[in-house]
Amino acid sequence: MNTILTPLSVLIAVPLIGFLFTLLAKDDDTTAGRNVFSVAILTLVSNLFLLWRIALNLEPDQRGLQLLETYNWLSYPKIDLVFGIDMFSLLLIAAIHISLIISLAGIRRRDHTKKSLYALCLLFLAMVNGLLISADIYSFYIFFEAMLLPLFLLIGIFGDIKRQVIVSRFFIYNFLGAVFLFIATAVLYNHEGHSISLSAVSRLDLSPKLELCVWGAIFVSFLSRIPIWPFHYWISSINSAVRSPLVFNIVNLIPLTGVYGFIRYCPEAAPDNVSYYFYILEIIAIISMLFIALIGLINKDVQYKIFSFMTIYYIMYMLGALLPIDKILINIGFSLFAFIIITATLEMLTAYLEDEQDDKSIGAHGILCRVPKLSFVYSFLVLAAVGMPVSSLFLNNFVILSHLFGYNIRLGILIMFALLLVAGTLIQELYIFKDNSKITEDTVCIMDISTKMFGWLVFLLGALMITFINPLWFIGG
Amino acid sequence: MKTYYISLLPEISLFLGSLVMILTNHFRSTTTPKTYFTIAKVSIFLSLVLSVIFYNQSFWPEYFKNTPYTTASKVLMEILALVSCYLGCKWFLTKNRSSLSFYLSVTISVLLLSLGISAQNLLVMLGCLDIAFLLNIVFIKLYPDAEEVSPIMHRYIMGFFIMNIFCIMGLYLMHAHGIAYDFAAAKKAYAQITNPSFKEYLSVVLIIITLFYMLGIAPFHFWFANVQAVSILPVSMFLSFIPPVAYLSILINVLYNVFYPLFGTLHLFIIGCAVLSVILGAVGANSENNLKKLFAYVSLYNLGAVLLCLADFNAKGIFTGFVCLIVYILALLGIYTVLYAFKRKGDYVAEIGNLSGSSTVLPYASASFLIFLVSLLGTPPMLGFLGKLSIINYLIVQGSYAFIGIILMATLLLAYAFLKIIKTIYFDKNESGFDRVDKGVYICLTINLFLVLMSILNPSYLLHDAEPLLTTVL
Repeated sequence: MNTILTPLSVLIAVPLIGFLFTLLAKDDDTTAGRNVFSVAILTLVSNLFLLWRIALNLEPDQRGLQLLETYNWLSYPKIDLVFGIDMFSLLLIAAIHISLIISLAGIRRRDHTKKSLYALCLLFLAMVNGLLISADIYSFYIFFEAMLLPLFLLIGIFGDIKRQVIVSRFFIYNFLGAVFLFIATAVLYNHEGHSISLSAVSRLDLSPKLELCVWGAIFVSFLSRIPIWPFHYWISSINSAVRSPLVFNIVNLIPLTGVYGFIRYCPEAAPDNVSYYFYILEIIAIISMLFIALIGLINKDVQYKIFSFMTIYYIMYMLGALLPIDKILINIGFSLFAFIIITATLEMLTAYLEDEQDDKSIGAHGILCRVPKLSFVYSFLVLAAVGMPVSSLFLNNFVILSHLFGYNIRLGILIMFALLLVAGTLIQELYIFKDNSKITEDTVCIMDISTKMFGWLVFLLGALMITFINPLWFIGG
Repeated sequence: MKTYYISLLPEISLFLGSLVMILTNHFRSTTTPKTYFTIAKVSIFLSLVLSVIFYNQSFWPEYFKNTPYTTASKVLMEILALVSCYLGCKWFLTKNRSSLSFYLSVTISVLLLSLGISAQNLLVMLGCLDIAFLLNIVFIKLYPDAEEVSPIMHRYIMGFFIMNIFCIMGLYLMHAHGIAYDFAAAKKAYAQITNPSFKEYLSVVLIIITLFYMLGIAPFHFWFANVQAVSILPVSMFLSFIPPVAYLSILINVLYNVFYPLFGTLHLFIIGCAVLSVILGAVGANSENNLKKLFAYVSLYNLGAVLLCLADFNAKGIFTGFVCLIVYILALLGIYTVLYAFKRKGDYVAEIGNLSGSSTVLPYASASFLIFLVSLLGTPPMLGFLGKLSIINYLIVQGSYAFIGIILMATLLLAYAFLKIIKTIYFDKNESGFDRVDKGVYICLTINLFLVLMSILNPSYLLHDAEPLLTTVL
């Protein structure tokens, strides 16, 4: 090991330490989960502070990963784990941390929160952080697969899924995807005789047959993480069944790992031999987008609507990442930053609404009518999600879409159509929530969010609005 | 000459340990399970220390030769025997049964296997192994249900005799072709044969089949899972570790130092058995609800993977096989230690279904079980990944892409079997409580977890100097 406890290693180490502290923390009826909650929040906030310090040391305009760290791990086969970060990874890590803080706040009032939930959440976070700062193929693969176990336990124990067999199948299916990446990684390693940086993979000189096999394996492994046909079933079955907002948000980070894989493995352009097959992928992606958007529109489950919204955006990001334009990546980063935070908050509030509906045994119609604070935040978030100019999502999505139009106008139109459908889905739901036509004086109302919570959420919305003006405001960029 | 006699001390220590146990049983009126455990522990530990001290000294070099390779194998075997004895004592204390037969058999078995590892003559080696294998009958008969064990015992004895007939036929065919039983002489004789006849091949294959049968390699594996299913936990643990380590060490020695000139044909035979073991191990694990039987199939899968590396007869193959073996042993050792922790009303849990809800009552043991299962699966960041990485990397270097596919598909199948266990532990509701776990079990678990976690952070702790040490067999 060249150095220990350098900033990037600490990004992985802090959640792991938090994980251990959470396991050791006292958690009984008297503490009511306060200890573990505090440990989890402290861990996330510490890492956010560390991220801010890292951000100050980054050159936003510099290409490639920065602050590289090498860890001499294995002598035979000789494998060095390399970590590095750029503004794109940093934005994603920050967004994930913020989304987890929001989700943790959202589940706190639920009675079944246990310390193992917080512990597994932190373990998952450590693995995701590892993935997002991986700079070579082996470290990327290790974290790509390692995140599956905490994910599996989170879904199985806390997802409130009735049919547990789908959880096992979900694991096996993702495990298969990881196996494909492992084969590709091992083959690439042996071809070169040493570990390869992620950005160098697309520039390797491979024979056409090998190139096709390796890239086929890489594509299958990343696609297995994105709910795209024929891989959509297991992810959608889990997403629509999960009831905990924290688990839902964590499960919805899985497609992000697939999109991120595409971005890192083909930063500029995939090899010519492989690019030929992009057309097939584009067709499948478009069909999946339209299909999922239509199901989201007709499905009555709010959870599924949010899932369809997230899926369509993830597929759009994937198609954007596959464009042979390097500059678009930072736009995807800015857009994803806002997207992850918006969807996490939206899901947290939706879960709150569903809990209140169950408690009061009332329907969804007009549920937001007599809760002004919740109504304001929820409406703002829906509008931000559908692309109104209130966050960095608007401008950056516009740039991504314009590039997609420039690349292939028919593709752009179809993506636009899918985005409109899914926007309609969310607005339709908002309309139902705010429809006061059936509200009378005697109608039972839900409880509004607390002023403290409202204050935090308004602060968050303010931060999102600032990202619309300057996405890198936090480092004065 | 004095040095030669002294180099026999490890074996003398084991022999004396057995003798003291018999004398204690005869002369001491009150004994507890701990009495025999203490004697076994002292004799095995002494043997371990003396083996290390006289690592390259041999009493009778024509028949028993010690090298760094044989010493490493013996040390590994004796450490595992010590752990098995320590945890076994917990079982005997809980059940309040006499432990004499168990510890006596363990000590004699370790002595015979130790001699077998050092053997330089096929006749002597197979003689030692035969007696050790026959001694397993004492293990099988130790306290299980008589009705259940009877047919398995008959099949075991029948299989033993059939394998012995094969072995004798093999040895006879060797003798008929004028090939000596001494390792060096036999290797030289095989090297001089330019076109080996069918009978010459047959003689070798029959001897290897005998070793495969003892090791429990497919398609000669059927006895192993059945015996594991009916054995008590200490016996099951002993049979899972000590004989396989010894047989594998002997197999490597015989393949490289006797049958190496017939590499071409043997390679195919070994590969075939290895692939079959990997597949049957993974498939078999999915069909089992009995935990000991399930892990017997997991052993079959892992031994198959190790054999796949050894089949190429080169130093890298031995090293890769060793890495896989160590990783698998550490994980399986953890699994068996956890099985000592899962106890309901004095009965050790045997079926997957009985583990339901253990995560809430025994969170530390359940989490450890999970870690060891994931390690066995080869999922990063657990230690098992090191084994998977080594073997896949080695197979890519060899260009054996089909075997990579087979191993990874088998891993998927194995994952499905393990998910059944994880699901029961973590997702199912608790039916009834578990007994309090012995502190000693927790200490063993913690040491094992520490080893697993430290080794994944820095694998050189585990594999330091392993390659030069292993290549002394060549």
